Amino acid sequence: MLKDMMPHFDLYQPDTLEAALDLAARLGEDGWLVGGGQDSFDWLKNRTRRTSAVIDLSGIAALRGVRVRDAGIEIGALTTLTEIEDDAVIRSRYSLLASAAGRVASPQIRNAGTLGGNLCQDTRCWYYRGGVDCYRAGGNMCYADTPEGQNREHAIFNASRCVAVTPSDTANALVALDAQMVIAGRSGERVVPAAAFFVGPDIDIRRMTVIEPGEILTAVRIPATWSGAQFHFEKVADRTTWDFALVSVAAAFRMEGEVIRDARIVCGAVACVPWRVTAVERALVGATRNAATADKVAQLATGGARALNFNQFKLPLMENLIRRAIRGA
Amino acid sequence: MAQHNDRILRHAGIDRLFHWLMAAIMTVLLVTSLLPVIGVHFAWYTIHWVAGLLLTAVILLHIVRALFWQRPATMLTLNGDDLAGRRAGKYTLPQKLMHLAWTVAVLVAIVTGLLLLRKAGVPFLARDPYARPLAIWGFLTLLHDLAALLSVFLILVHVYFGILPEKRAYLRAMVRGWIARGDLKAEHDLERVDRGD
Repeated sequence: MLKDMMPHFDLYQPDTLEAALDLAARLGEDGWLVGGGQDSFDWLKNRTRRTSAVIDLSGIAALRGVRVRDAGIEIGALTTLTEIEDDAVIRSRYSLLASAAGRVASPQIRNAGTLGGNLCQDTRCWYYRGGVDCYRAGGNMCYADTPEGQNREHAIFNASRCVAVTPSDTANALVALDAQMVIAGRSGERVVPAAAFFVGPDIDIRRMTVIEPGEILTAVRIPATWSGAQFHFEKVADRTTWDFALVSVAAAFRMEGEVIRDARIVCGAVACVPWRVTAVERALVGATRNAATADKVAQLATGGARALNFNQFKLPLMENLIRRAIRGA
Repeated sequence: MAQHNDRILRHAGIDRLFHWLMAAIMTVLLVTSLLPVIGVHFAWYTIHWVAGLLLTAVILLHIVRALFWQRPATMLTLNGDDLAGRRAGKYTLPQKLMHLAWTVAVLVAIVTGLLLLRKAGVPFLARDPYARPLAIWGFLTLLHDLAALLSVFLILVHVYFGILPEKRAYLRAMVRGWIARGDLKAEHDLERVDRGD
């Protein structure tokens, strides 16, 4: 089999959202949507998945940029990760997202990769990416959760037959910021809370988001709720310069003096969806943000976790990252 | 058997409870397995295997009760009486055939479902998809799915006949327990029914 070589497909390059939606509706599941292409080109060049048509969205100017809107902001889905990392408004009001975007992969990938692509990318389970007929690929088996399975990177929460995890760094930040995803289709627009945008294998084992064939993620809205709060983003990966997370944490704290009035703690790479640690969040309300509080509540984070053969390290890693987030590292 | 001048106890309370419990669990099993297939997505898996284990327990109790507290011969299909063309005892031939079909569908679903738990994984059983060859898992899945489809067919037939006006006495008996002797006359030999045959 030819590897690392682009297969043949019909390329469509619409320059308006309406044209893209028409194409997406017409082509249905045969129309592969591409933003920056950083996930898609892996699939296509490795030839583990094929498509007869690619709809390149990069020419739609309306889907780019950061706009202030209703006291919050709206970020076009085609805004690159570098643009998000460097945007003055995001850095001043939602630095959590800027930090998360700045930790995605390498500078080259962030220059090309888009927010929409980072949110909608497929999981990196290497059995699945390798083309085996696992549950997620439409088969009848999970090869990662087996006595011999190499599952160091896989889920410790909410696994339901499939144990793949979300690879997105920005997703965790956006769930912590109570963001909303704007999804357009030919029948109109719908707005979905970030926490409900991602789909676990218990709900649908074949996909990662609620986006239906024919729909396009056009923008992400972040309300003013967490504007200017205290934030902490940290990601642990095998190769810090560009790897996917082994565990990451996105935390937001609304403070009143030294006391935490509200908190959001969201971990990445521990489940198939951004994993809100609500037990810790509840325990933090009314507490002082310091090392003592961190030590006291961090252990709540792993309640209900089920480690696989080779990822037991994720439990203390997750607790420690949350401990560092609470005490401010 | 006679409770009242013209009433016969057809199903004891415990048997009616088993029947409706099995019906409820089968509904849960079919809803949790078929709705995701037609695009209604929800967290079905845990509900499905828990319901499957409940059904297994209820079926086991039903088998024990049928063997030791009831007369299994009344439900035996195509026994000598049926072949001789005699009028039915407690159950008519179509009722016996329906029970036989349910027996096959449910037992196949249960056995294959229990075996498949090893591959799919549940909290009390370590997942090991390499415990059997892939072809065996595929065959078990096929049988499990065929049993589900047979169950859907049987439910349609069972409900259809259950609500037919001329058959409604049987449905009433499964709710209240008794059936009027007059309702049995057409198809049953009342002497055999009185004997518990």
